Amino acid sequence: MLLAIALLPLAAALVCLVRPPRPVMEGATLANATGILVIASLMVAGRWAGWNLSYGFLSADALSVWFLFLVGVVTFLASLHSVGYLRGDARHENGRPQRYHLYYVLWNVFTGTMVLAVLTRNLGLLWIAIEATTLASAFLVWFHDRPETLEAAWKYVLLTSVGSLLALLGTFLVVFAAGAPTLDWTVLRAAAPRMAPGVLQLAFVLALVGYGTKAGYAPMHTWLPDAHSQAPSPVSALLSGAEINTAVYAIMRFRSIALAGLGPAFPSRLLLGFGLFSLALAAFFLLVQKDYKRMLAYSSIEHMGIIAVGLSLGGPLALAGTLWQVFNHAVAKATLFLTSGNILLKYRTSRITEVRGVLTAMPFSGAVFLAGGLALTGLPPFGPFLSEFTIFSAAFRQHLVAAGVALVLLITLALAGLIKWLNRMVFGYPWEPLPAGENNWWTTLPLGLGLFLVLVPGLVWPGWAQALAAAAAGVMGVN
Amino acid sequence: MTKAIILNLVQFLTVLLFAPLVKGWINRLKAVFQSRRGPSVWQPYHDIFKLLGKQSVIPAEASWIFSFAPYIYFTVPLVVVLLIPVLTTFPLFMAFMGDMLGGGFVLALGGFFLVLAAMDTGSAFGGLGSSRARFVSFMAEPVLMMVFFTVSLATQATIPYIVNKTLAGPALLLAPSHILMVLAFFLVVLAETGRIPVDNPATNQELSMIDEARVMEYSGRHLALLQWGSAMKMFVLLTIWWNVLVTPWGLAASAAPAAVGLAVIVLLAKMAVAALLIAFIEGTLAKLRLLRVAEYLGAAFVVSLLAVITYTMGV
Amino acid sequence: MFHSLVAGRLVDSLATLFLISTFASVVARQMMGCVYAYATQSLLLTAVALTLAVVTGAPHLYLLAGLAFFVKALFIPWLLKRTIHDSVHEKRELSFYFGMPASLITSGILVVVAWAATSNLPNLGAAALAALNAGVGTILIGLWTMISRREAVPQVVGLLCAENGLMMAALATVADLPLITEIGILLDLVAGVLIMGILVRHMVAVGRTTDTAKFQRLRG
Repeated sequence: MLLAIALLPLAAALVCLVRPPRPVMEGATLANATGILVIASLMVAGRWAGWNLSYGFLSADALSVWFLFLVGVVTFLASLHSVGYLRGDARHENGRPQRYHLYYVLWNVFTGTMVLAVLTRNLGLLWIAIEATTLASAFLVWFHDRPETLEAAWKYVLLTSVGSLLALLGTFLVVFAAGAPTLDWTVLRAAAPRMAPGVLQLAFVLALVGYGTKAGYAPMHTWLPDAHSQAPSPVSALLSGAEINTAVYAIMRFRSIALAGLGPAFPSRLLLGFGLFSLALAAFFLLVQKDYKRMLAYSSIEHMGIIAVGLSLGGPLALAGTLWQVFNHAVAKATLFLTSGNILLKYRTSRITEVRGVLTAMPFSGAVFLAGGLALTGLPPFGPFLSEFTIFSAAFRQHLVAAGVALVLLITLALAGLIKWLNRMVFGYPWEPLPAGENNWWTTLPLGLGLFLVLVPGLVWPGWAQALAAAAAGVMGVN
Repeated sequence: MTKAIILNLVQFLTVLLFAPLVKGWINRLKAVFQSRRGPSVWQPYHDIFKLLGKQSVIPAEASWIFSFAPYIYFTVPLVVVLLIPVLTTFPLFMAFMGDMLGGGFVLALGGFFLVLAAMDTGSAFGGLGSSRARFVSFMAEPVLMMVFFTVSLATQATIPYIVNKTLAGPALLLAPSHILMVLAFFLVVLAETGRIPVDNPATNQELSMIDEARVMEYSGRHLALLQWGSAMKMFVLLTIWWNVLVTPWGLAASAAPAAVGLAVIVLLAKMAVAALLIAFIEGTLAKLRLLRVAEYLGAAFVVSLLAVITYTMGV
Repeated sequence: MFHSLVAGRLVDSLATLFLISTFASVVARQMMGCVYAYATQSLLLTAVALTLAVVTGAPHLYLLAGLAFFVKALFIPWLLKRTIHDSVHEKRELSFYFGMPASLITSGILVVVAWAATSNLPNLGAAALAALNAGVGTILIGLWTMISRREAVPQVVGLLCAENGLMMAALATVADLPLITEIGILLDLVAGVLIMGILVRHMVAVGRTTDTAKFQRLRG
């Protein structure tokens, strides 16, 4: 089954490579997305031997299954929307049809690499897969041929390559410290208590900085607003919803090793530092945004910061909250980016000041945009509220009052920024008369699904989900 | 005792007689690289001989320094020859008169007098050449110091003969600090002898001259002495590079005539290789603009600094 | 891992030359100069891998040396040369943000920092230490080159030099890693260079220049 889910994207990419007519490509992509989601759901349901599988290089444990599920959900939503977005794009822009097959090929490869990244316990394969996500998405970011997208793609490739380099050095140092030529995470974690602390510290710092670059931690985040805002909206949804989460997955793996070898103090301090700094920086930049997709990108940085803080806290409550936050943020962010794609198609501009009255021009998208935006700010009754609240309470419960207070204050600041721009965009009437209504069914359906998935976790955490989260937290090493 | 005096004389004569030959080699090889036939390798001898017979014209405003400087410039390399291992591995009786720093200072003395003499003439080009030459020497000094520090640290000695002996083992020879030091010193040799990329010795454009501008006012026997002296300075610097730093082998271990003769031949062979290297560099690179010379010497300084640091860090 | 003194010293010297070639890429003023410095660096890396292969007799190190030679010393410099010759017509001389002497001195300082950071790693032979120091120093210098250069091609070369340094550090510490990892890394590298090459071509097509200082529209 692991092999199936790994080969499915490859098959879809190959189909698209031979330049079939557009419906075939769309069909292949949708089949790919559906397949990933179905298999991921089945894995979550514990259909195969609990949550522990392995096949050759691929292996899955509870943590992998959690991330695989969210990658599957985000891919499904974004693929559905992608079909409609490209159709709408072709109608308005002089879209060059010969590049769409490139889009679909790279899209499938991109999803494939992300699936591969979370389905492996081999740190080397993890690195290769994460680097491959960058390479596959570089041209996706640059899909519309403008100087801004070129600049964004350049910064993206260069900066994330630097980060990957540092992460690889960290990986090598961990292997060196273990003294055995193995890249298997379970073996390395078991060997962690015997490693020289100096080497392990250096390795963890390098891995954190390296994979943190990919995850969007400040101060290594400078590529993120550019890349995530200049990419076409479905691609942005994948980038913000799934790709940075694969980097978080890698950080979680390394954190477990560091925890086993160094104890909780050192990794927690580092993660807390990066988390709060990212949160603060994003909150401040959110107040001065001019482009709504850039605003969403900074919101991604903010949430990555929250996740890092959650990781730094440790303990079963905080870890469960962090995992939930990862899922909620992924779904909410993906939904919002897809909605912003709809807005872009209708309004033909990405500047906040030129967009007004989304609720009037596109009632459904406007409603989802408002709801998703409120979700991202951490307001009830949406999912992120519950997960962020869990993280706060874990902080206060562990008597880390300063961290908790800082967390609350910064999230409030970000909330202020986000709501300000949301308010401007959603309410009122458009500046020029626009044809009211949605673009097409393909762009609307995922929004509805996304909204559902954002609402439900805010109201109830199903038992099976709790069990999976607990198992994943156990894999990470609760302390 | 007489043996030592004879050996010293032989060293003097080697340097004295073969220095212009090395210059001739370089010019000939440079021409060959440029697909020309080039001058004969004995041309510098012809030049010196011709100049010795000509009348020396002295500017009216010049003082005694002008006439005095060429003699100092000629003698200085010969004094340094006393200190460095040219032909023998065992120190000759004057070898402990000064160490590497002393040798460096003595060499600088010649340049100092030449600088004064150039300014003495009152000509604009003389002043130009002097200031530029000082500029180059000033920035080459730290590099030389760093190289000396590395060598002294590595060999625990500053007398060139002892350094020579200690460096001969493979442990120190292939050490990273040694390689860096050799590179840095070679870059400085290029700067001190006024070769490309620092200065073009064959140029006739006064505004780009550094070393040549200092000797513009000289003629006759003074010029002959200066040309000979500069050839000897290059020979001495290259000898230091080869015998003390790079390959401290091929020197005579005893005072037997056969061993000494062999040492002379080995030395000439080393000089030939150096001539090839310098001619190749002159043929392929272009002269740097004056302010870029600072960057060139800065690079040499960083290399020598790394040599010291590499050594002290125990790598 | 390093048996005889000669092999150890050889690796030492090669590592030092490796570091010197990194400096050569820092001070290069022509685009092709940067690329040639990178090619030389890759050659030296191959030589180190080969020495290690001969000393330890591990077959996968021979393969690695061969791969490093063909990919890094031949293919990637050829790719970069193609990109430069086909696309970059206007400005091939390189400029520094901070000036060359400052760049040189910073590189020197970075090498010292690298040595200070790695000098107290345990379980390393002396020769491996030289290679590790050269590797980590090259990584830092490569990253510095990316910051301090304005044109796109030296930034890519800086990244590639850092990657070389990483491989050198890996050879010094974990040379017995399975080959599949190294192959994957090299593939990623090639793909990365291809992508960057294409982006550079389009930079020239769009803005007539590879000066990244002119591509700064996205702010805030």
